[in-house]
Amino acid sequence: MSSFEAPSFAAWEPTDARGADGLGKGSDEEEGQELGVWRGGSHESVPTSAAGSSLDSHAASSYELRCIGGDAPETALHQLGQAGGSPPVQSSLDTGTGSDVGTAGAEPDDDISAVEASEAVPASAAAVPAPGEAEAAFRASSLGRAASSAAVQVGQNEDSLEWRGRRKHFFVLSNAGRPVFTAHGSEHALAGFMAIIDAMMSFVKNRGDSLETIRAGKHTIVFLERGPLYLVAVSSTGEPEAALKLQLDLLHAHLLAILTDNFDRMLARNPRFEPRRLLGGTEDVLRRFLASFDTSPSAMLSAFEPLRLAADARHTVLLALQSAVKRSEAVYGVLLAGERVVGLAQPRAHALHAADLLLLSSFVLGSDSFRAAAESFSPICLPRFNPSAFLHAYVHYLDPESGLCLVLLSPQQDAFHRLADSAARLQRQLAESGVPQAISAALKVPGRGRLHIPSMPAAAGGGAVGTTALQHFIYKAPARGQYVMPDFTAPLSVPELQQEVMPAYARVHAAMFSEAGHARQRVHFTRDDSRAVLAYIGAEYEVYAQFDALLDRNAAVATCQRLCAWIKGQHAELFVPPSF
Amino acid sequence: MGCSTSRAAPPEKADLRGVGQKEAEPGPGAIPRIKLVLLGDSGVGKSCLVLRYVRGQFDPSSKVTVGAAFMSHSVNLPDGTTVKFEIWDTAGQERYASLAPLYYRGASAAAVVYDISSGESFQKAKHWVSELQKNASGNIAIILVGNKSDLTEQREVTTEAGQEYAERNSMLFIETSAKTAANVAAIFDTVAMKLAGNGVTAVLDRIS
Repeated sequence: MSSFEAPSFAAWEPTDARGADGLGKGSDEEEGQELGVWRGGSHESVPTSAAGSSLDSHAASSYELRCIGGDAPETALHQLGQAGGSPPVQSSLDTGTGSDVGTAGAEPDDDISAVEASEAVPASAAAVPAPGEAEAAFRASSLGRAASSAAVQVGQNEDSLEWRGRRKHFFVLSNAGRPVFTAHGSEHALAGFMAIIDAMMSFVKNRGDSLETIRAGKHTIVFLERGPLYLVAVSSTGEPEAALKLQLDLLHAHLLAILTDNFDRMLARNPRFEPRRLLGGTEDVLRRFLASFDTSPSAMLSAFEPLRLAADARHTVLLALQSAVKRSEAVYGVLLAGERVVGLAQPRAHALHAADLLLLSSFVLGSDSFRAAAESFSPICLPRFNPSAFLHAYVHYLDPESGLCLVLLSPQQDAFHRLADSAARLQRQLAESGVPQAISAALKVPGRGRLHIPSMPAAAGGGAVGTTALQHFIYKAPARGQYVMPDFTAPLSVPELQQEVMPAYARVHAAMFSEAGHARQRVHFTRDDSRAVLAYIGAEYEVYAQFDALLDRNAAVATCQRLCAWIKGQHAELFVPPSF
Repeated sequence: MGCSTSRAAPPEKADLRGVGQKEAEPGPGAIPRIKLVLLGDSGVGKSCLVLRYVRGQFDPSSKVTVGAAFMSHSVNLPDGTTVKFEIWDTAGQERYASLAPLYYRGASAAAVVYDISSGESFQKAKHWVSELQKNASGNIAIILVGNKSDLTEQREVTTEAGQEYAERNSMLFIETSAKTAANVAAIFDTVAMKLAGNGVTAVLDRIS
């Protein structure tokens, strides 16, 4: 039964036999249901029996997919949408796909062959009265398992161990079932898998509900519908649903950043449209963006991280940026040092939204071609600024080694030379004041442009490993939309420990804030065998801190208060002052 | 098709103040500039050709170009004159197709690149040629470039086919390899000589 057992779903042990039986029966008994639900925007209703008969040998697979929509599981799925995945529900869903595949007579190992199958289909598909392409893709997905001859190459077997071992998966597909993106593996190889996701989401949607979350063992599966796209995250990191949902939302925003919402409209108008054609070459950018969630809280906090820099150097940067923006009639100017912001020029009336800045820096840093070229000019859409239009980004690495990169954004597509002239002038101004050297130096001292716990005063929770319980923290200044955090130092010096840090913060963050972003409480403390985590909201800050597991709540709060008082004295070099 | 770039500002507008604006007003005694745009399918090696030409480097780990990259390079031609190439290396992806006019309008030369080991990229090149014939300035010099000439084993497009198509459309033709550097500089030399010979943009006349 192959792919659907694959990755994270391997953990879905059926624990409720009744659910499984019910689904099995459903597939046998239900007839004549409409396939319209799987055909994207199309509302044609082709009675399955008709589609089935003209498909002859493929008929079985064509409608046995509907078994998910049989009477028996309907209740189960319906509950799922509301209950967010209580164990019996999820297991019945799991066995649902299982029995689906089972009745198709698939060989246990024939894995996803949907691509080959879908290429093999056209002859038979043509015989069907007006078969939507999406429907064909669907048929293909089950067909792939039925037709073992087609189950060749896709070669997921060698990869699948690695694929299953991933802590997180992201999938994007059109609601017509066309694969758009996967964080790991290839969209082609996963076409059948995506078809099942589509079936699940479309089915629940067709019942006037929406599938939101499934919990299975240590896996959390979160679904999100945005326009004609379905987005799915599968995570075993222990991140809460709210965090995964936000990440899916940002993944969608990133697609818009590359293609504008015209992409959504094109897909909605024409479900046959091949979405991946337009995304060509951006997979790496999206993958790096998704990977950044593991190490950066920017998305969770909706804030950016400034580079720690001497106040006078920062002042020079801001003046130069502002004049460059004004001279070139740009909208925004940003100077980045890697993923951190050195300076930002923005009109007061249209401050750059944190999510837009996050997408912008992901787009710029994630595209290697900007680093290789001297100067580049590229369209990018900032969805919060305007989801329907491109801005034009002038991108110039002032110093590829330290990752110092200037980005000027203009609404005019012929602005290149104006922007380039301003950039050249800015580069001269910075060079005259020795700013690039100051930045390189800031990146070389302990902390590498971040705070450094061993160098901080003991009163603020600093000190060498063993002398302080403080292991890591994030200090956010909500009024500025910025946060600072220390570089990872011992005991968090190995990647295995570092990757636990952000999920732990995400859990306390989700406990603190409602989905609308309102704080439910001011202090939240959790402790387990490996760490104590505190979230604390003060008048002008939010702080999240991680301590060794021995520290109690009162001591943690006291440390945080002293830490915040100390940081307050460092604002000038830690944060970017507001501009314009 | 493509996305809604044009909706941010209609492409016609770009025409008024094209990217090549500077070309029209060089200072006295300035080195003549040649604005050259590279067009062609994704993955045919446009960026590799430019990097080979401008920096003498070849990086086999291909980086997909985003938007368009700009580089300028001054060069001494075989006849002793100096020109400055302003090179626009455009992205080959479909989503950027609607932006191409921004780069080829006002250009004095276009290099349409295909991969000799890909018949499909040759078809795409033909598409670019007809777009240029339709929309670019009438006197733009076009050179058809068959890249990856080192891939003799996988060749799908014969030299004759390229040559013949170029002649039929009054274009220059050359086969190159960014990997071995074969003929790479010749693309730019040939274009410069052609422009000088024709006096098309009269750029080189200013030298005397």
